[in-house]
Amino acid sequence: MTANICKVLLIDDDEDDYIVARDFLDEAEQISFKLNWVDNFDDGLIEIGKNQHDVYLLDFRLGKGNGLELLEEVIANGCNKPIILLTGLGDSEIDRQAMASGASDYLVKGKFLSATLLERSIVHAIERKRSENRQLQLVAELAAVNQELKDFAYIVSHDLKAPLRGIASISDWVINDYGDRLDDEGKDMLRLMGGRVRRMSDLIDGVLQYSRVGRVKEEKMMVDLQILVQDVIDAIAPPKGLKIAIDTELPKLIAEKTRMHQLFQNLLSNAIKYIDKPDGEIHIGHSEKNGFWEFYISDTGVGIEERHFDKIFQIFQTLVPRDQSESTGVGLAIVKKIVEIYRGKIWVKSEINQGSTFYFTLPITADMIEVQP
Amino acid sequence: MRSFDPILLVEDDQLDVMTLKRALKDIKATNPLYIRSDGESALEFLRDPTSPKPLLILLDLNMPRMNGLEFLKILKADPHWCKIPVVVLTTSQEEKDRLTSFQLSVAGYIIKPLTYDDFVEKLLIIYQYWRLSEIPNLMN
Repeated sequence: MTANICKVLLIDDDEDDYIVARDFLDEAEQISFKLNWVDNFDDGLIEIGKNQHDVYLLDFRLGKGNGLELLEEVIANGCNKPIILLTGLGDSEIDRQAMASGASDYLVKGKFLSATLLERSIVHAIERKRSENRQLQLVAELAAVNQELKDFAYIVSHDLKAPLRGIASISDWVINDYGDRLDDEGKDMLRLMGGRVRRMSDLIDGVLQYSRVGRVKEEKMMVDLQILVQDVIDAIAPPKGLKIAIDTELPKLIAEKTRMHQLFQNLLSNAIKYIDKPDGEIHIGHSEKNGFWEFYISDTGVGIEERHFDKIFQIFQTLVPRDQSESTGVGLAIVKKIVEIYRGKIWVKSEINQGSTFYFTLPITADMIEVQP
Repeated sequence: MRSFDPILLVEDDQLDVMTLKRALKDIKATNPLYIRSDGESALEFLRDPTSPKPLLILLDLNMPRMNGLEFLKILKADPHWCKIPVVVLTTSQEEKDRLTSFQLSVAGYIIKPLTYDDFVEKLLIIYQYWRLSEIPNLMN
């Protein structure tokens, strides 16, 4: 709207309707309207394409083609101005379709239409459309920033690996070529440096793995978790003496197979890693709740203090000093990310020296149980 | 491949070049090594009638001007060059790069390991394999 003049285009094959609309808009109190009029479908399409009006009033009957078809066509062409459909009395099915197709409002012509009603409908339609457009823009910006962030994590970690490899090689060569000229302290320093380089490399790999979870999409397929979890157990090759049991018949669901594999593998490896007894036990199972599956993986390991329950799911957080552990603190962060991508929740219950149970949910929705066309 | 057949290394990182040279020496591979720092200069090398014909190309993927995959596309579309075996040496663990490389008929895909010793171990296996394998006469 420029200088408080609202430009309106009426597309209507009946001149009487134009005169009524013009008279109504002349009566308007809050805003000055400037009304243009075209009387057929094709001219309407051309005029709307020029994007020179603030709001469009479309009659349903337009001779060739109807207002609903015009509405759908201009919206498909990217029209981002509000469109109000003018219909006859009792056409509630058309009204419904108009709103579903993206109309901002519909008005019943005839004795129910008044100057106040028309003005109010136009003002509200413009306001609504404006905030709708602003929202769309915000969503688009958010998506762009999100994508940038995903790419950033990947590129940064990828490019960090090359110089790191250089440092590792040179420290190797210094030990090999000049080792005889270094005293024990010098060699020890290089050895420490090698260890830090290794750790940094592991951390970068962690960032890469973590960022890959949201970035790389895989085709979804029917996954039989009963088979998948058995495969995971076989692949991990758990230490002898450790008992792993699947307590329930795990469900089949539609998902990315690699993600599901990663999910169970990380939880199981984690359980195995923190079992400190030779005869530990791990149980896997699930129950069906109202609208979701709840899975559990319990172990008889060292357990986790309650104050750490949130921390363990954050990336790079481990509970053991770095020098005493191979862990980079990425596994459970990835697990959480996967569960959340599938709109589930994850949490842990644990008691020190008794063991931990990790729970997570996956929603039982149509797209999780039926192959989508 | 015989012990005197030339090898072409396409690699822009000076340290990775040093690593490869040193590793070839460590595994006692005496093949003459030619080094170009990107795809474009590698193509110039292949086009130049005075350069020797390499019987093995070791190719980095991430390089300036023309990257490894772009180079591979041109190489494999050429009726003469397409016969030269190419082994990719890269930092990229991306499935996409792996897939594209094999779609372009690479003879191997090695992820550069962190430490020099691991690199030597991998290079030795590649080298022994290509020493063992017969290669068509690429001069024709």
